[in-house]
Amino acid sequence: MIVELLLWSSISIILMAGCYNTGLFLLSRRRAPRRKGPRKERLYIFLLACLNEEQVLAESLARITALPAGNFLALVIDDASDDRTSEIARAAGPDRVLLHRRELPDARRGKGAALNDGVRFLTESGVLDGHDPDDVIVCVVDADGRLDGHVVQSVDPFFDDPRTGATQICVRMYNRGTGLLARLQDMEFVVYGDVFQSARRFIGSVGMGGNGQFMRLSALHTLGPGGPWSDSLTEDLDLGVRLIAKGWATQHCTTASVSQQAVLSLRRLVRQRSRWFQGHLQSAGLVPLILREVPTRPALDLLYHLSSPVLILLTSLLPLSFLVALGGTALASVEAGRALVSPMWLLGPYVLSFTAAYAYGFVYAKRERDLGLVRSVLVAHVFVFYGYIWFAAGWWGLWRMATGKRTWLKTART
Amino acid sequence: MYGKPALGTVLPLAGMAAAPEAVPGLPLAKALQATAGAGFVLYCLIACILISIRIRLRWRTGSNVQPDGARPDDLGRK
Repeated sequence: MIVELLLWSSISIILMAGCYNTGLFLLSRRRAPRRKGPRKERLYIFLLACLNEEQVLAESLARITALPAGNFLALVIDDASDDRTSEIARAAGPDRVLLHRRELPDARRGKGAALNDGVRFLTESGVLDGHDPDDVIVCVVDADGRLDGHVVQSVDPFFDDPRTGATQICVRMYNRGTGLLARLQDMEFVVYGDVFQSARRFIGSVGMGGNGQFMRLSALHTLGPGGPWSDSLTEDLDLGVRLIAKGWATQHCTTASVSQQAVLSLRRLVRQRSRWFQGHLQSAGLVPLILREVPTRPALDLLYHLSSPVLILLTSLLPLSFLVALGGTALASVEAGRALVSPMWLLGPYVLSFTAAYAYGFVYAKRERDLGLVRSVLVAHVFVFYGYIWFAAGWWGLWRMATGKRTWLKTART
Repeated sequence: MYGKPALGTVLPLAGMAAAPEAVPGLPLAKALQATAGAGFVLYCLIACILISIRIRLRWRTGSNVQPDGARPDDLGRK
């Protein structure tokens, strides 16, 4: 009897996740109302925390300096690179690109520490003199991040609302045409942005990503004297939650994106996701803050979001269980000399597993019109299996957490 | 988390319901699924505790609301 109940309990994980995903998909299809305030001239500062980024930095800075916006700067925070990172930053244009070089032993203490130092440098160097922190927008861009040309024009109206503390833009993979793995990462970020982040605009729980996050400087100042970013492995997730807890609204901009380099090796991809997963586990420390400070609706969503690593670990047992049962059934069928189950039996698992592929294919086809709906849906079928990467990454991340390992090498550029 | 789509797409264990004959590995398959189920029961239990803590915190905060409707910790906040 107890075993029967536990079997049904495991099925309810799928039902809960299915209901949540369906709910957010439907919510994401609604048009978000936008509160307007007075238009203002704002200063945009792009922060690039760089550690040995000579392969990708020049292209990113070229994109930023070519932006058709009036009032902006880029600050390259060189985290004690051994390569030509500083040289590239200096050559990119002294009018628009500032360089702040960190030195060991204070450097190489993580992206959060580098970004905090960058904001400190901006304040102390006098760059911000005469600017109201309400009208200074800081944007974190990865060194390989290629911003859309219209990004400032797309993001700026969100900050007309004085309650807006931060706005996240879409993330794409610029090398998505180079192979299936890159294509699947692109689909992953499109689905995350266009379904989950878009839906969260209505819940009030839009999360921040480490690339393409725009933040009002005055909002960052409310996060405490130690600096806005924590030393968590997912400092972006951490920052978004703390902004919401401080009463700021976080927004998601669907009309602009930053493109980054997809990881082309499966092993490196799993390692990257393990790092994110471990960071997500570390973020469990935010739960008391959410319980105390965040309004009920976003609090429930954030709690679900922060607990999703647990659900991923639990659900990782179900495909294993299915495979064992499937293999056993195949063996028993061979021994019996006849098929013990009808091929129609596979229809149930297909419907339960791949219905989402049609929704994700539909969403992706709207972004990738050249790919077309049919091919997009086919790729989404592979995407269902691609999602299983999180199972391997999850157990790896948990192992590192359990064994007290907190340091990670960054994902190498190619 | 970007892996959230994976949650809704797990392959369910349907084999044991469809094959009434003895199937090798079935006890292992059941044990795996029951472990996931037990973990989810624990998850729900912790969720209930967190929600009750939240309700209690809100109730205490509500009783500390000032006559003008502002909470003490609202002072100085945007």
